[in-house]
Amino acid sequence: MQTKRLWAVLISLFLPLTLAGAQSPVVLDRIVRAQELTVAQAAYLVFSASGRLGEGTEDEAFGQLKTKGWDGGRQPGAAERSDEFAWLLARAFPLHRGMLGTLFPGPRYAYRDLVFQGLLPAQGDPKATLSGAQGVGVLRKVLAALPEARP
Amino acid sequence: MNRLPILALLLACAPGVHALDWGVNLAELPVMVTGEQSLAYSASEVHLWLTAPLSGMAFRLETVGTWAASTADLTVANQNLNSQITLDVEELSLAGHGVWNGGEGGAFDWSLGRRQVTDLTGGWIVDSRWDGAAVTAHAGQTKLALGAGYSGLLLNANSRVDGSPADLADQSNTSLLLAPKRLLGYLGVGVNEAFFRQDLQLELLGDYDFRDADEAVHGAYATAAFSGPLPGGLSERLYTTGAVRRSSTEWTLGLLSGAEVGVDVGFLGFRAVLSAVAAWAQGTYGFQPVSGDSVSDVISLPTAHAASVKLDGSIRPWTGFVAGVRADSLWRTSTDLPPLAGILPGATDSWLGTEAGVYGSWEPTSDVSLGWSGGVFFPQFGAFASTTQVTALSAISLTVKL
Repeated sequence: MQTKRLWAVLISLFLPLTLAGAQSPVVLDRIVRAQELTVAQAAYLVFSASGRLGEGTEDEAFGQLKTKGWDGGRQPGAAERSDEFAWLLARAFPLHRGMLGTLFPGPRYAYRDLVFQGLLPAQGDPKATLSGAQGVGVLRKVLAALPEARP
Repeated sequence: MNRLPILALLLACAPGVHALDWGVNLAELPVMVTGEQSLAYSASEVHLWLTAPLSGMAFRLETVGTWAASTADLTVANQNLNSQITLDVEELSLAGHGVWNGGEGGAFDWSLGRRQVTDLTGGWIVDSRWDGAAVTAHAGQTKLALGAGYSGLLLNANSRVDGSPADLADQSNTSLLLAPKRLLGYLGVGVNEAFFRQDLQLELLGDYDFRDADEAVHGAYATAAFSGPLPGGLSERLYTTGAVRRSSTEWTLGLLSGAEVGVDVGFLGFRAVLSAVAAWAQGTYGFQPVSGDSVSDVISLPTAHAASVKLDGSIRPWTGFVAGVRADSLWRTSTDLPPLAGILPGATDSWLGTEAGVYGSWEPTSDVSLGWSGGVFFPQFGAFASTTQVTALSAISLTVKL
């Protein structure tokens, strides 16, 4: 069962792995199994997929988040909200921003921009937490939407 | 005391509330019509919306404030300028979803409050907001829909209820605060892929007029509709409605039928649709919907005794952008005079004229959208006086979502 899950994760992250540094299968499996994606896990996914983390761990990813001042005072084990995850993705990747997202950058407009681009579900709740599998799914869509992933 | 902050506070404190989301949409809608009847109209709208998931349900409130100004005199600035400010509750609804036997027995969706109701024909009979309740249950390939609503709490200025001559007279009466009082009920059944991958749907719709007996016009409509894919990448939709209307003096029968064939071509997201709709009815007023649409885009031609054949082609080269052209041939199905300026009282020609136009919309970002529509109506001089001018319409909408 565990092997199947691992393969599912590896397949879903095939594209990210081609774009970024290596991710630990053990950590990824743990993230996919998580009922709620934590702030540290979100940082791990985003920083490793954007090539900022290399072989690091979730703690190192959170440390990097804190260094950049992107942690917003949250604890590493706190649940990541959809809008906060969108804001993290918007800062880590060159995603297209709307007028208000450019003028007033933050979770509110980052969330709307990702919904507009079809990277987050339209009927979602910006303040809802994500499961680990949902976080991986959103990241996969974001990476597939980047210019370097287009044929 | 303002009730909105109290409502928001209650929702925020309610158990099971995940989050409140809100926004403000600003819209500017200028419209210009020239021809037999001229009109310059502009509306500035502020929409305030709020949503809150409530223990698996979805609450939504949308209010709209509109400042609209119009003039029929296009030659002198600010002459005969009519302006109006309206504050309205566009939507106030609670919706939910449920299942039987863990989803294996079926599922149902329900909604309560003010919401948009569109009938099975796609809006020829009812296309309006109503205050009421609706339930739609799905089990396997079958669907059952049941709903009831009331129109008497809608704002008259924004109402589209025009089910009788008295309703139509009320629409232009600016001293009335609330819309005509009608009770609407419907029962629908549907079977997905009933045969040859075609969906079959049936709907019974009734409306009860609360006016005094001498002015009241009640109605009942039975609609059957088929839709589904055809070979060669085509799709079709067929519908027909039989109507019975009862006033204090007479019963009238009516029929409305429509057909639509569409084709999608992969190149640039091209889609072409050929559609036709026609209505017949006994009596002077013809086929009367509860709150229907015009069969034309440039001039206002109600379904009463009208028919149209339309060809529409559009492209969608990228997400958020669509542009199209359309041509529309307009007809009448009886010798009764449609309410159009320039029409000849003694004319017997069925063909009224042709419309041609363009339309489109573009959403460059998540917070800005632009829409445009323009068209021209060329009257057919067998039905219209030879001095009748060509009517042109242009409209733009600009929306910014804060």
